[in-house]
Amino acid sequence: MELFLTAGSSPHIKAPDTTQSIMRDVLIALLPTTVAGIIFFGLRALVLVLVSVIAAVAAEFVYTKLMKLPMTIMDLSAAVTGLLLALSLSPLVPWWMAAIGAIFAIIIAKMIFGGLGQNFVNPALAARAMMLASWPSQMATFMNPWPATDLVASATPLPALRYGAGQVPTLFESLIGRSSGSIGEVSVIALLIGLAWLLYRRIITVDTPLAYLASFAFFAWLWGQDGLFTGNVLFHVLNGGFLMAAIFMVSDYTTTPMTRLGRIIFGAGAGFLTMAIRAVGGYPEGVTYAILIMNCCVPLIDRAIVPSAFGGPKRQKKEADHA
Amino acid sequence: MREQLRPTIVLLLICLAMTFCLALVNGATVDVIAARQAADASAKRLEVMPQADEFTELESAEWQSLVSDSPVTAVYQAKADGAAVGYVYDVTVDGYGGAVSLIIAVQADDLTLSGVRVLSHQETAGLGAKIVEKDFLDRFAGKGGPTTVLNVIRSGGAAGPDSIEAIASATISSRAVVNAANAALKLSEALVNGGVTP
Amino acid sequence: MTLYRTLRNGIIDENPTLRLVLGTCPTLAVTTAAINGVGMGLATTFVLICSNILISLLRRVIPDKVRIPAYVVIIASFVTIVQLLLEAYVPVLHQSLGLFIPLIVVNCIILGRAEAFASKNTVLYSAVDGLGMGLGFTLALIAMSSLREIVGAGTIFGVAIFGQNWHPMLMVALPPGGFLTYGLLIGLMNKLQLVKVNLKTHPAPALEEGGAK
Repeated sequence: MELFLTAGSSPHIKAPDTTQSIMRDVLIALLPTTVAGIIFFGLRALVLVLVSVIAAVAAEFVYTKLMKLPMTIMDLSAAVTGLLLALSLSPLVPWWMAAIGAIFAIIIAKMIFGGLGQNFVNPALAARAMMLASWPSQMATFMNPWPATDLVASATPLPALRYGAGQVPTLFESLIGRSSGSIGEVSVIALLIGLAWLLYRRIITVDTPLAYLASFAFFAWLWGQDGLFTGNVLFHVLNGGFLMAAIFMVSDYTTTPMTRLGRIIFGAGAGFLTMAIRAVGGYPEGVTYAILIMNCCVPLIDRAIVPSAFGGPKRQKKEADHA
Repeated sequence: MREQLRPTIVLLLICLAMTFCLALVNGATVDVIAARQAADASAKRLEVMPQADEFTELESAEWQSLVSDSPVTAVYQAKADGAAVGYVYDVTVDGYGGAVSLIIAVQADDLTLSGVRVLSHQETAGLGAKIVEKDFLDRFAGKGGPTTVLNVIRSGGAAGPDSIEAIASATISSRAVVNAANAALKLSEALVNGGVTP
Repeated sequence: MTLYRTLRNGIIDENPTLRLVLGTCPTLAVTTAAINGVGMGLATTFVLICSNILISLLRRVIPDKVRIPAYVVIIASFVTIVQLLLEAYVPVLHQSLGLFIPLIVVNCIILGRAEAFASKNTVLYSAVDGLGMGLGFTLALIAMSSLREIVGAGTIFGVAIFGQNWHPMLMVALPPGGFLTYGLLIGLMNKLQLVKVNLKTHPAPALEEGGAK
């Protein structure tokens, strides 16, 4: 066997983290939410999750084989994408739509751009946006969670509040997951357990989620139902896909800026856009499009905020100003 | 001097020649196009008022004073064998994605809707765009009557005699069509009561 | 260059839509249904052949200074003729293509071929070049519009091809689907071209700069 010696540029830091170990921790963090979704929505949710994960992994497998690329399914990122997509769907979505969505996420949103690390938008959200545009009525039909008896819910909490149609859940109901919605967004407690795991394992930092939360909360308060500065902040935070996005989407490594300041700008922008769409946009829920739009802005943010070179001279802005 | 003149003259000649060609083609097609457009327009009116054989447009002065702020843009009197049978309206209302243009027919004798067709719209594909479907528009046939105002109910809701069931997840688009129908009904009543009997 | 090479050049090697990426506006806008692709493609082919022939005939008459205005007048006239004929005899197509018929005037393919080919070549070759480029455009539009109609509406030329339980992917027929399909087709074309070049094991011939300016 030939011996290759490669010369890498500094800094030479070794860390035990691999893509696989990070993705495994994300999967573990998603476990409580997945279990809660299956408990509340039953077998349908389980089928959707399985179909979506299997389709995502299979799509990556087939694509890498066809294009003769190094096999990457063992890094588990395709499984995470499939799971995130399934959790962002209504439990009533037909299984084959979830499969097409998962294949779209992997092939179109990720592999075509060069695979993990090269995709410019979050694959799961890109697939969800595609599905929203493709099957609007299936994507907007939700069911009541267990133990309710009637299958099709009249309205999810967000349109219930905005258009005054249907029951607006109490905060306690939102907390444990008694309102209708996507598989992964109904149980706040399960999501918070996942957040705790990610923070404990140091998989994510709090800066982007906090910036997202702060900006979102401010605009939720600003754009109240009864005029400016009357918004019910807790309601908007606990309902819809906000928490799931804040924990699992805006903390994605690839599709967020590299610097901390950049990530804070990213989170603030996403918070503004999410609430803007919820309050005055054409859809009751704005998380998907807000994060996708901010994903597209990442190269601009990164260009505007260039980190100083490691070990290089400190920027001497102040002195230059004095001169 | 000749250097400047030649390009001008050549361009002028090309323009003249092409204009002549265009005039020829226009002359050959102008009658066909006009005939087809007229046939198209009356075919659409015939679709919503099949028993009529003649449509005459009313002067706007004859009806505009009867109603204020009406989305109706044109009124046609429908006649069968010389006897008036109803009105056909061009109506433009605001939908979800922009203006929705409709053609709506109302019977003169009992003031009920005879037919509704969508001419153009910009509603969301797959949701609001379903307002053009026969399944939805047929819900309007026979509705109405003197002093009736139609109302919209959610898809699957309990229906009354004057209610139109909305398309699922497209209540705003459905409401636009119902608003247009109400405007047509209101104007019909005013026309009949106002002495402009068909 | 032989006549066959000229024809083939427009359809494959320098396909205006998929290789030169010209005329993207109608490509993206009208390819929502296969019949639109056919109609738009043939209308453009007609204009392209006519304008190529006339410009080639007049290539020694038109002074260099006013050649662009002269080309535009000729192209615009042919487009107007097509529009009038379509409105009179194929009103259905006229309605679904709408604004995009007059916009054939500004389709870069036509002015591009007038400038790059018809003004320098004989009438016969110019006519064949117009035919080749027009067919290349038409075939690309048909490929794209069939794909978008089948996936986005579940029909082909208006005939349903899937059962009741299939819900078509509406997005493919909407504007974002246009960009996606276009990108994928160009990618596929490049991939095929690369495979061909690799098979021949010689470097890719440099694209002639003729068309795009």
